[in-house]
Amino acid sequence: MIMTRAIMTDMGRCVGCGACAVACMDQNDVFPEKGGTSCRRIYQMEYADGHGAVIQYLSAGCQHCDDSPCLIACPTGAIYRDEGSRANLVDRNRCIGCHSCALACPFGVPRYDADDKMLKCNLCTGRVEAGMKPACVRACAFGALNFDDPNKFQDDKESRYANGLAGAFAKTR
Amino acid sequence: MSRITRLAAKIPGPDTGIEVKKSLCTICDPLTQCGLDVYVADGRIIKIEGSEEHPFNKGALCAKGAANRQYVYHENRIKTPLRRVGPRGSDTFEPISWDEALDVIGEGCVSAKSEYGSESVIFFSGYTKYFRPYLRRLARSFGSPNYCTESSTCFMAMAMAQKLVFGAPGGPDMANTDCLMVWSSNPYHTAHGRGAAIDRALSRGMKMIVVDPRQTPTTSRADIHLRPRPGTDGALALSMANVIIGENIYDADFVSNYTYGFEEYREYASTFTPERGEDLTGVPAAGIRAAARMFATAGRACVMPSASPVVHHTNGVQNYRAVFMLAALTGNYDVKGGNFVEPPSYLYVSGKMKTQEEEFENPKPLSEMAARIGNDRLPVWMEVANGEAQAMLIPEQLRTGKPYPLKCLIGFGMNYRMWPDSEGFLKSWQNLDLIVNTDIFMTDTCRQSDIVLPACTSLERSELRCHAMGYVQLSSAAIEPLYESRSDVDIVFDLAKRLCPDDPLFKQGYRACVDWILSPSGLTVDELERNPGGMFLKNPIMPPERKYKNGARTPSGKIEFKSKILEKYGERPGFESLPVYTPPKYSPEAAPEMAKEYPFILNTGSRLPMFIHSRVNHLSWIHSLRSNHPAADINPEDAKSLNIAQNDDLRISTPFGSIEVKANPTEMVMKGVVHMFHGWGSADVNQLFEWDYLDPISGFPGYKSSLCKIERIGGARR
Amino acid sequence: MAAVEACRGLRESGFCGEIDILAPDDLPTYNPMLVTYYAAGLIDYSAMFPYGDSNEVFSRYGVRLHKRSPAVKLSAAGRAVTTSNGETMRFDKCLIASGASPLIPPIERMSTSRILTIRTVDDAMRLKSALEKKPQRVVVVGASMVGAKLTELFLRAGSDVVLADRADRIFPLSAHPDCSRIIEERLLGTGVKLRFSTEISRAADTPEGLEICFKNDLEPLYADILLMCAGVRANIGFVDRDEIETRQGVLVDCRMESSVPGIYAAGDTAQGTDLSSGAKQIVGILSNARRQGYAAGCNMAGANIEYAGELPHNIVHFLGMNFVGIGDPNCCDRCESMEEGGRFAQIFYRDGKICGANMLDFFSEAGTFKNALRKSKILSNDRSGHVSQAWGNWPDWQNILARMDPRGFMVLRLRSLGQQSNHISF
Repeated sequence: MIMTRAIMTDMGRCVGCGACAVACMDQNDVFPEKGGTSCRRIYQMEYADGHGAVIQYLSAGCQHCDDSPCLIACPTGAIYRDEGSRANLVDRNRCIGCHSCALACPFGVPRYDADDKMLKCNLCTGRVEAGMKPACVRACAFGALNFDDPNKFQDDKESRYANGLAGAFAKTR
Repeated sequence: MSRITRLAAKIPGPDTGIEVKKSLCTICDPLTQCGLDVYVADGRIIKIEGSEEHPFNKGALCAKGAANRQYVYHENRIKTPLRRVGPRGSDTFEPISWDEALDVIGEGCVSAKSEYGSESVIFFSGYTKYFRPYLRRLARSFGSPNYCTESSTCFMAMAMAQKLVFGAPGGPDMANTDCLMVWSSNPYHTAHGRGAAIDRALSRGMKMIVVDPRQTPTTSRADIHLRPRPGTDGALALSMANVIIGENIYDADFVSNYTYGFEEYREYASTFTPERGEDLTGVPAAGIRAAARMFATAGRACVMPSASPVVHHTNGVQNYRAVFMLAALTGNYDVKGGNFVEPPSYLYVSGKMKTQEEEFENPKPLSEMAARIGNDRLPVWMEVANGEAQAMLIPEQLRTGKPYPLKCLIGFGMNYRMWPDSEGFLKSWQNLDLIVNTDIFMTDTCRQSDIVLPACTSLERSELRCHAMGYVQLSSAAIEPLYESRSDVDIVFDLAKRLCPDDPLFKQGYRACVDWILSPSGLTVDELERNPGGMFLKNPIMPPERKYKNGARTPSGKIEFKSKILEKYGERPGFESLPVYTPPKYSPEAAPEMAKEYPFILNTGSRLPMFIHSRVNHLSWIHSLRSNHPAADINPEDAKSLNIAQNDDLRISTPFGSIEVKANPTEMVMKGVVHMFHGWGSADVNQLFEWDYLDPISGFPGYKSSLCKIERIGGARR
Repeated sequence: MAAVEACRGLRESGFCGEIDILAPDDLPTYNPMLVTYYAAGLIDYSAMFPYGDSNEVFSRYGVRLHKRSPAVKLSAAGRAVTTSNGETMRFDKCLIASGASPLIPPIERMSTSRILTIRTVDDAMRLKSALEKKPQRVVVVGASMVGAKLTELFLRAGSDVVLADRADRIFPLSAHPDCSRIIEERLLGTGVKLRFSTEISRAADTPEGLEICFKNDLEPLYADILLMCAGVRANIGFVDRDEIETRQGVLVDCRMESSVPGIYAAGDTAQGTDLSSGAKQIVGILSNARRQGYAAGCNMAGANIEYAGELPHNIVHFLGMNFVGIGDPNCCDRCESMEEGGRFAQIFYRDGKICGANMLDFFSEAGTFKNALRKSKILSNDRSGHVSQAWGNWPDWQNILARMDPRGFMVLRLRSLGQQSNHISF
């Protein structure tokens, strides 16, 4: 049951408040003053199309990709896929701190600790096994972060947006 | 799963020894608090989460609340009571015992009382708010009319505007409305529980109009976003009224039966055609028309006001009166789905229960005491606000000693940077004999004080809160107070022993006082303590609709388009009985000469999601979200035309001062406006205001619109 | 590595026939990049072999492995390959994934024992034992990524290190001269000596140690160890250049197929599309080898998988600094640089379009940048033209990323909120 779940960001709901980033640091005892960073990063994206601006927010974290660029770039096999949780994890003992994954990841996820070992989101596997949500998902007030089956999430999101679109269309009539 | 894994993942249970304690977050105080699950191991907090059963936050937290652990254990905590040993402001203190500190304060207040009268002692509450009923009683019991709070710059003026129109303020009934008009608020970044409630209402089909100069997550969800220039809200509301009246889509029955002054109002509004509105506000006339029609015809509609954005203008109360009149015009006052009136229960919140808070707070009538601070300048405040003094007038009275001298300032969570011309306010402190501040952290205000008392955080004590959804909570202490810190309430009760030893309720202690306050509700401390995570009321009070039919609580007994209270002050500029629109004192319209040199509108304190005033600026978790280097938000086009790039050093100047900050161009900001967050020690934007840049009705500072110029430090870019 | 991925591609695409692999030695598949890490003691011997002893992976894919049987002749027309044992094997489809060998400059050599190359498992063993002896004087020839790691290794071991290159600077293929200069300044600060714009002409054992002479009459150097890491050359000596189109490597299309149908190449032998210039280049990067190998395998099995190519990119983490090179700095006609808090970044343009970047201590945004650039190059070479309109002297970093967004929005700003410790804040 656990195997198919992932942390999904619904950009339509994210407001860039940063609660997930702080919750992650609280859960994992990460302190920026000691060089640590949250496994979630918050982006504010501003698009302007000439008529006005659109501002979107994004809480980005490790996507635990199926076809992981970091895993493919890792020379030692330190990055591996945990078959149980579907998480891409790092074996600290095999990590050589070469930073190849930093250049591979399109989401800017990899960070390194004082020993140059790669740090990343572990999908809160301990919490999930205990029946709890990942810390970032738990903190989110707007349902922007979901811990769910990616396919189900996509279906839900599409039907919700379809309804929203239909609603918006009806409103303009 | 092994115990080691569970410990590492902070899973509560007997095997890990991790316990979950129920508490409340009061880092911010939007009048509705978030419930906390505090994970505690060996008496130490190891993780914070929102309480899932709590009806406001439903398990979620904001970035500030999620940072509670860092807040509690931050090294800047004040550890013992302190007494100043060097000159004021020299930041030289010695630790003293609680008894000694309290005795010094007690003796200082008592001797000021005997020499100058009890009114010479000011009791001030900044954040948090939970101890206020007790502090107010302390002031009153001691005999001082000068109890005041941060409500001198927040919330109260909005309530005054509503009281002047309706008599009794009404909150937006979001659960039942068809159209929510959010007037300058962004709950997605300030009170996430309210944002989530808007999301739920939108998904059931509620329409939303948002009035906000900025672009925010709230505006992006709106059906209509009106973007007026700061400080022009009154003109916008009057233009909407013009459309609603002109197109005859107002509630004629309500207006003719239950309102006062409609004809004069109609006549005045008739001059605010949408085209003129566009001219005055910058909002396209078509947008004004569309919003007016939607608000008037959507079914039930309501106004969601904000605590400070609209009233932080020199014309703030008049502007907000004009806004609230739209609810009156459309008959949306005191009905389900409109601005519904529920009597306040406790700590400003209408919690569907009855308490004796007001009786508790006022053991002696104000009439037996001297006039409050601000009495002469702010007669409407004295008549309409809730009995507090207007703290914005403290500096003037300190400087002049008129009408009577002020000698002691007993602050709880006081921050002198809340005042305009903050440094000038600080200078006036030389006329005080005793300055006390109680705080969690050693703030700049503490450094300027004579006695500093260490308060504990909300996680180290309990507090009573009620919520609009009929939920009441007496939280538990998750851990013992750190160091020698104490709860503010304990400090108030210890001071009571010295300032008003004969007070019959103080003598019985805190629990007895809470029981006394709660007695009309049938609740007791014992029962609440058995439910530390809070409980729903068994019999929530659901008031009827249209209570104004029995007479509104205004002088005319009706909803007032023309204020009978303001009429008394003789139609002076700013005190007009109709909601007359006057541009902000320092605006391109009202001060064109000044605007030539200072072409930008300076707007301070618009909320950012990770900050609440200066309360969490010192936490590394927080400034990992936004640098702790003060930065001004400016429009990208303005940045481009001034050749300013991201993170450039900027100087913001007004005729009264200048500060140096970083540049942060963002589309959130409209062209021509500079948004500067307040409360930074290294760049205190409130220095850029005169001390008396105030709304004449409320005494609120005009923080959300003045004029400024910005320039890149180091000259133009190559 | 490319070969293993090709086997996976073959089998995952449903190929049921026989697979034979010709290996030059009897070692399992190893990763040449790990040689310096093994020598430094950061990994065990076994960790140099990401597939372990390779038996498991080859048996999983049903592969016949021919150890110590390197190909010596490939006949494309005859569909046959001859091994060093004289055996000739026929094939239907063939993948050339024979890797690369160190390039040894033509020097007059009077010793071999003190001269080391850095590529193979044997090299790794020699390097490790050389390092354990803590030599006093070390000369590294080749200011490449490997050269940088070697410099770090021997500096940490207490050696005096001279880093030499025929080019005029460090990382000549991936760093802009401005960036090189900053790195060199830092290197000089650690006590490394630099000898650029010169080539070794002679190396001979003398009583004082290995005497290393340079062209253009520089003083000879005396060293205990000479490390050669002046680049690699594709192992394609067995390929008939008249039959199969080759330059530095075997020219392949986006399906990894050579000019002769049925013959494919992947990894360090394959000269595929370099996305930064659009030209055919060997891009010797592990992930590129794996992706090329997989695509080749699938296509050999009859699938039709296109691999768009790769941007040359490198990241090297050494002596407390972190250098990222993306694209080719030598083909830009303009660049923009920025320095903040000791960090340095540069974006290269050609014809108004971004063609690469250098980043020093700026790794956190490197992957985002590289992938965005790669995507924009794949989707449209015009997309990154937007960048030239960026405002300000230094258009902020993520602004540029955002402008390359392939979704077609005109993006004004994309900004990370904070993350002070690892970002330049925007």
